[in-house]
Amino acid sequence: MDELFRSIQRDLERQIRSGELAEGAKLPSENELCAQYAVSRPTAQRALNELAVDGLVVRQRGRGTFVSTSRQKINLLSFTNPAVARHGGPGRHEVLSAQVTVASEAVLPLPDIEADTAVTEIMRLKFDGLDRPQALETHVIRFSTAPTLLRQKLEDLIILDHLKSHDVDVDSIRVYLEPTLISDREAELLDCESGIPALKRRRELRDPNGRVLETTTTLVRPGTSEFFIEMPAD
Amino acid sequence: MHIIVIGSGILGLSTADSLCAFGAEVTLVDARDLGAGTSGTSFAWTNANAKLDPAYHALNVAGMHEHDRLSESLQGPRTYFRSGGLQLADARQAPQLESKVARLRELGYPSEVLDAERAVEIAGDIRVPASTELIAHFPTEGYVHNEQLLRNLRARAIERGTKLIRATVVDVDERGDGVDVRFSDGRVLTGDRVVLAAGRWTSQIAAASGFEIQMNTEIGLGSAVTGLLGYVRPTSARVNTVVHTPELNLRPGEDNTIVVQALDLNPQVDPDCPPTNGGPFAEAIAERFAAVTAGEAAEGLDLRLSYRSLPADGLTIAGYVPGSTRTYCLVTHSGITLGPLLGRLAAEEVAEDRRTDVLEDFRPDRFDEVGALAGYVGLPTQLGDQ
Repeated sequence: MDELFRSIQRDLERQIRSGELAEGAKLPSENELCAQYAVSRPTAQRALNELAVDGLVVRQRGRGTFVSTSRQKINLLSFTNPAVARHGGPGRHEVLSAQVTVASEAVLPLPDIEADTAVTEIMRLKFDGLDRPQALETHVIRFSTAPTLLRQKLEDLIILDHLKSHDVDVDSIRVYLEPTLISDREAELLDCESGIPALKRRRELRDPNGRVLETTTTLVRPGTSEFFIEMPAD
Repeated sequence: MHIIVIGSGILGLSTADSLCAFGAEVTLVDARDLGAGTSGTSFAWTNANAKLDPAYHALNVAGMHEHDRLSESLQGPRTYFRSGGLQLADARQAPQLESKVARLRELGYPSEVLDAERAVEIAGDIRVPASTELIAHFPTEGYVHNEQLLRNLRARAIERGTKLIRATVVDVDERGDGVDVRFSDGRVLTGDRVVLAAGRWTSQIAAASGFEIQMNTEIGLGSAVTGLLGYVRPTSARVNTVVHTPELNLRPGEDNTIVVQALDLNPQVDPDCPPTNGGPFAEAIAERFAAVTAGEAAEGLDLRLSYRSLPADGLTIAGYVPGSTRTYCLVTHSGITLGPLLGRLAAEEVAEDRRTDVLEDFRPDRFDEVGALAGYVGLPTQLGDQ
């Protein structure tokens, strides 16, 4: 069974990546796959479920299985909550640069920091389940706050988790939303047009004295996401 | 005085850091991310072990002391561990190790011969191979968490006022009243002095600038500069010290990793087709790791290739380039052992216009003499070499 569901999964994945099955298109049903590949129903089901886990398809009870559209729905509060961030969408991170540098030269300013403070600067590109660039993430953090940060596997790094496990006292998390225009370099990295409007999320982590320890910006490829805020009603 | 330091490896960082302490205005130039050169990928064994030339031996011993001194003042996670070093020799290697121990004793270098039981007490989860004939212990040796040291040093150099420029240096041009450093993007930075500490890229910048720094830069199958390192994340095995065995060398790495090397494999490594984590080199190293740790799997073995920074005679080059008063060259093998010391001494010479006795045997002009390369270094493939 192992071999069989994998080969169906790979076959469908190839069709999705090549565009034969376009965004929103309906995939064959479990019954149709059983007939087409001469396999049992659990095998067909497993192939479709694996694709769903990878974020390539969406399964809707009673309606069928559809190729995921690249338009994501992002809860802005997820930005403040590592538990949500950890379960963030499928897709890999690519580390573009990681460096110890001086605050005055860093790609993002940390408010009220002395110009010659050492900071760690990390830039990462997040891809979606179809391996298309989805978001550009930039982190700047005081070196002294997390001196071992660059030892971590940066592809998987969640800064809030790292700080928590190193007993760094983060008192408040503030999120800003800033309209921006995509620069040439951002356009190149995100594979979109330069000069078009986009929404930049910026997060600041502060210690109990109100000192900013870290700032992260996330620039999502324009047109690919809808942002919302949702909280429990009580 | 504005001093431009080229290279952000351990030599350049130590120099920049010390220069700031002397009150100089410092700009540090590097083309790559921190740790991208030799300093970031190193076995990082602090020693003066196979360095039997008396002046070079003394320099390395002073380098080991300097680590103690540096670690007292440097902020950040601890990076220097004076753990001692162990060498386990089989019948073939034993006579060589025995005579080395005798020679090192003459030089005043602490050493002792141990039995297997005592060696294991010191080393941790190591199995002494049955073929072991002689075990030597060098208690003043140790190791460095080199990547973290680079970060800690860079952070301090920055906070002491070092300016950073990310650029590729093309050449250095000395004029009457200053020295120009030209970057590949056309920019020119002018300073009062330049310290050229670009590791294995040093001879290339020198040649473009019209002077010669003789280094072994040939990268290819069997070349002396290639070094293969393995990073293992073992589930339970711990080593406490630097251990050399006939088949594998080990030392503690960051976050309970173990860094390993198999010197005899280095000449077989082809840089054009670097070893992969699933290939025959990885297999051989995993097998040796299991043998020396009594069956521990080499979990997460990650191979990295490094290219040594290797002056043509194997010894440090430190001093003003012949005929120059503003261009200072600082390049060496054993940079982890020597970096903090050489950085401080070079900073003294450049910022204070002093000459330091311990560097007199290592000036760049020694290559002008006929026969200077008589002591040409061979491949470090033997126990305790490199």
